[in-house]
Amino acid sequence: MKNLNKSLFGSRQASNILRYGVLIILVIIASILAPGFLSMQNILNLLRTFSFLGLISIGMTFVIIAGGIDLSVASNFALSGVLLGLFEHWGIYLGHVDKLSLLAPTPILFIIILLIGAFIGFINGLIITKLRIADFAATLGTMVAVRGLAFTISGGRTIFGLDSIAIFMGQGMIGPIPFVAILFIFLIIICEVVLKDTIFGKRLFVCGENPIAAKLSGIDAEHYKIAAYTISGLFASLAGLCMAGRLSVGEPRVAEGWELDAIAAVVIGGTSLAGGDGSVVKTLLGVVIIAMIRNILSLIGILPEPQDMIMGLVLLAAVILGSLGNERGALKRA
Amino acid sequence: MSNPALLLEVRGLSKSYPGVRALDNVDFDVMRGEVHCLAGENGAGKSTLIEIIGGSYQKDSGTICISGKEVTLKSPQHAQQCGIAVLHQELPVLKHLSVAENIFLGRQPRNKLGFVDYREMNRQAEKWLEMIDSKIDPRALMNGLSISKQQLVSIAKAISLQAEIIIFDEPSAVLTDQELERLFQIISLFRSEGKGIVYISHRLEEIFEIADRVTVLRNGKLVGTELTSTLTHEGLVKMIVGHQVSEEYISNKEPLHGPQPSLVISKLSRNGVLTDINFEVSRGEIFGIYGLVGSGRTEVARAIIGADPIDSGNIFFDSKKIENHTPWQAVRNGFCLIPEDRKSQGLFLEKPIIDNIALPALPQLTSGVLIDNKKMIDYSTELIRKLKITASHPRQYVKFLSGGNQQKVILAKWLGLKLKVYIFDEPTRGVDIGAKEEIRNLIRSIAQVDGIVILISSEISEIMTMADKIGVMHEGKMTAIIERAQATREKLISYSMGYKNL
Repeated sequence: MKNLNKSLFGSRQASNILRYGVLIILVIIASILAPGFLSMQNILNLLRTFSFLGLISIGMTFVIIAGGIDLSVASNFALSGVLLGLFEHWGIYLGHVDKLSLLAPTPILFIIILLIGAFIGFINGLIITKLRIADFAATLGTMVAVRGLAFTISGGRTIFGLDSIAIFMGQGMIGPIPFVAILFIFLIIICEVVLKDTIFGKRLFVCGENPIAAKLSGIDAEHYKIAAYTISGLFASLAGLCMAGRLSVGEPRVAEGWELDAIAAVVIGGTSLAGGDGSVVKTLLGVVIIAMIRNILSLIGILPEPQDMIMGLVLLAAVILGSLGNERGALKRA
Repeated sequence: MSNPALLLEVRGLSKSYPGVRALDNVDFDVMRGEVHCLAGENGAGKSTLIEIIGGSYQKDSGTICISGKEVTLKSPQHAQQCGIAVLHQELPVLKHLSVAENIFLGRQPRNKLGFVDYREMNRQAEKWLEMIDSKIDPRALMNGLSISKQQLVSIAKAISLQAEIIIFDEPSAVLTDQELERLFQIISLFRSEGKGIVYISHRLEEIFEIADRVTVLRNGKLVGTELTSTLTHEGLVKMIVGHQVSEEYISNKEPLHGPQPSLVISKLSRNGVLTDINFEVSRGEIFGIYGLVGSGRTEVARAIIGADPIDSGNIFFDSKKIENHTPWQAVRNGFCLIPEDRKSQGLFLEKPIIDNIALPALPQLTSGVLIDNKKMIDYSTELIRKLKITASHPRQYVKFLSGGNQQKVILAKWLGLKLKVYIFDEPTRGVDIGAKEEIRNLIRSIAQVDGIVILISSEISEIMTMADKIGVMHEGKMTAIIERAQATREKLISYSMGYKNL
């Protein structure tokens, strides 16, 4: 039985343990550097700062499991904030410049914006599966186009003044815990169940691993890929709404480059870029590791640009680790 | 013993792969000004022989002499320098380069500054192309050309390399009749120029049309080399098939008469791939499909389950028209395919056995919206037990299983669903002998419980022991349907080569 366990789970388990080890070391380093680090206040703050990236990364996990990659998430994120601002300041066009004049009640606005976000993901999926465009190229296109759209409709301006529900999404607290963190953790749990214990989840994994075999097993692999992109669009949009609330503005420049952070979080967490393997809990781990490293680098006074450089190296290390721990990574290259 | 007419002389050539003796002490020679055909069943060793002569594979033992000088061919480039050109069926052309660039790849004429002299290159290319009387523009891009024109470009390249020995690997499989006619003219031209031609073919007519001599291989051994002028069609078929007695394959099963055919395939066609495929299978029957590589046998299966689109034709099940436009529709209609390449098309190697088996059955294994893990494990372990899949644990990853057990996992996946039509494409390829028999018994047991089985195989003995009726494929057509009692190896092979009047 011991042997069996080794052959069944060996290398995977090892690389997962390594990830948790890295996290613990990071926590120790941080608490030495900043004595206040392990205080409840700081942890809750940290939780809030990484929840926005975390929400994007959940959607990204679905796409990467399905064997794709979504570069359009950060643009989608920005568009949602801008749309919220515009929809709440509809009155600008009617002459009431300063007043909030909602196009519809806030919850309905939210639903409309989430649907738009999901629709962008759906379009990504359609382009990739029906037109057979590489995932990378297709979403690079929508990334540029959607960011352009956000700039165009906002006129490049920041839209100030959002209503209280939106602000609660980004800034509100439930007891001592930030609302967005609760939302993030709640959705991690839901998505973990969806991926591991539903027909949809099981099929998504096999479609990501081997779309040809999935097709011959009677599964429409293309539909599942489109679904994954739609989910990614939905989560990017939701994260964008929360961020707009956090900043109290609709801002077209927000989250530039976050698509790469989200991909990094998924990969560092241990989800295979080859598709067909991974989980949102792993992604949570990846998000926390990224947030911790950034936090520590800030604590020791490193500027954001060198931080990016270090994050890049961490990502490379994670990818190398991933393909070492995973035979398939090596096989794919061969 | 230097015979000046002898261009290529191969003596005692042997080559083994792990577990297979691909070539065993084979002699082969090519004279100046002759066309020498190579014939044999799939896996007889033809490809291995030409890959060694072409320098792609290394021989284990034996000698190769070119124009009387012994050589050791180290690489395809080396073979090229020795005057050997191999024209593969799948031509390694660079599609985004021009015709002339392909002809002069790696040896482009240069001008004084060391840059490629395109004008000179195109001029020379035109000269070579004219020599084989083709009107291809040397500036045209390769990906704009048909396969046959690409073939002509490769021929032009071969002669521009001053190749003395030109080897054609089954060109007829990819060319149309007119294109082939053209190719034969070119080959005749080469013959009159004193070059040596090796031509591999599965078509008997063709062999008699162009070859001066024919060499037959079987199971890696030389059967013989004969002059075509003294050989009959029947004689050649005998050489290819061997003089084995067919008795061992005589059926011990009663022929089925009685039930109406349940599955009727009618006029199935796909442009350029399948032409007018018709056959019927009754419940409890195994319908075999035999054919050589590229004959369209896998394509029939893919067309039936909707994996490839069809241009026309119908599928009827119990007199009802079935619409299988996609594999998932096919599964819903009770059809499944156990594909030829199980690792890349049938399995999820990075998933546990239970996930592989339960995949299509998931909708039955839920409680509410969630998958019931216990149901899933029970369902899978039941099938693992039934099919005697040897695994250390139901959660073992499929990639750690042997070929035979992997095949059984795919089978288990469909057996659990109790479908109506099972299509097996080469179910025992790459499976060890013990597991082979087990899988065959499983296939028989599906038929025994009134399943409909279509069995595609290139192994004659397998198809003759298993199938009740055998459809033979040749170039996308089903050239014959033979009852088991009437089936002989000779018949199957000659039909599969397109030769009908045996």
